[in-house]
Amino acid sequence: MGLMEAGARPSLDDRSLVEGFVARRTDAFVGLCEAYAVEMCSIAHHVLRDRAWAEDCVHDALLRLWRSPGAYLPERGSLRAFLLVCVRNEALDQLRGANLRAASELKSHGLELPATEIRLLDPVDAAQVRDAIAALPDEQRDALLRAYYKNRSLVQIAEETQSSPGTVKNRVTAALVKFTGEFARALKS
Amino acid sequence: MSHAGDAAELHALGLLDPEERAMLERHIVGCPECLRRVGQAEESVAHMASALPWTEPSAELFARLNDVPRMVASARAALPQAPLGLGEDVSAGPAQRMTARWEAERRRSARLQLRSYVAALALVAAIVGLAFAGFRIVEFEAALRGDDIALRGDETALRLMARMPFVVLELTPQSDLAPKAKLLYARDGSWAYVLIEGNADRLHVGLTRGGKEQDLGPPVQRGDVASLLVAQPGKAQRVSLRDPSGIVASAALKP
Repeated sequence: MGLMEAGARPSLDDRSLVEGFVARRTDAFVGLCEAYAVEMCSIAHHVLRDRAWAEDCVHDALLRLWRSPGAYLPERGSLRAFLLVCVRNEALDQLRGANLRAASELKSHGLELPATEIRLLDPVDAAQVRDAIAALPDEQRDALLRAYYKNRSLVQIAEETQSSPGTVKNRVTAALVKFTGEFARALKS
Repeated sequence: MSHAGDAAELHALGLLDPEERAMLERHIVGCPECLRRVGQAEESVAHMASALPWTEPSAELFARLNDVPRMVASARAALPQAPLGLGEDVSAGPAQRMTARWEAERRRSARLQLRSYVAALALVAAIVGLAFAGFRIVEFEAALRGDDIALRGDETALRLMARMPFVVLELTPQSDLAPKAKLLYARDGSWAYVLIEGNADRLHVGLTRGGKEQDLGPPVQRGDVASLLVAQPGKAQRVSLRDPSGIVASAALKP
């Protein structure tokens, strides 16, 4: 099998990719890398802010998945969504682990990095995503933006918004459920 | 758990820790209702990803990904089953889990080696760039792409520190007015970070390289601490703090 090229079109359609991935066919693995590499890299880069690290992370996530037969079931939903969430979770795990190690090393030197102000910018380009997020109640929208676009943990969001982690949990959950409905509505209109 | 409940949405948003995620993954294997809810939450979060700026993967990544099925197949052939699944495989014995950890370590070492080559290349490129551009002082938040989300300065510093060993030095006071200040820097010359306690209104940070001191300007004051992150200081010899009367504190970097 030849080397894949960036930007190459997937040689298999979506259904064949899913069937092939479940059956652990190499051509399906290669096909899904071709189809989703840009999105996977974009997500990892957004979390890690380092291109080389992001590529390592995509590689780690896909290696982990390929080593885990049965990790994805078609009844779960789309393979693309599953992969993107896997890659983002891998990136967040790596980032949080690395940050903990760095913070602990700093602490051993009696150092603490200064907290800085939070700037919430509007990160959303895609019109329907923007519309769906805009339709959320203020507190839910704020929690969702911090969780997804600013990659904050529950505890960090709780600290930043001076709320309890339980309240944050309720807000992000409600926000994602409402976002799903609003996004579907935005697509229809 | 009887049903996963809001763990589905929290998982999709990356708000579960790895153990909670592994529990959820084990649960949904036998719970079609929660499996669908997880899938739906993942779908929504995948839509949100469409709003992110795109990053083109390198040709090297495609080559590495292309090699994954072969790597896994040869590892399976050579070793007893060594799963590295979404959660820890409870069916694997201690020896198998140990093998998996060794394998993970081996891969990580290989990546670090590759990364050090890349870092060396980047350093060479940076040094060449510096010859033309001089030192670049980067307010990293501003250096991010315009359509990106602002990153906190402390997070940027943490990311850098997380990736490599660094040295911490206290700046030696040379005046009664000297504030308490520390210097953190990477030995490879890729970054240096100056932290100053208290008000640094009148202070500038200086960097000496090749016997010449360059004024890097004032640090960024945030509350009771001022800081400055310096990108690619190279083989700097000294970092100093100056006020209008002269140097008030300095530290020599160890080669």
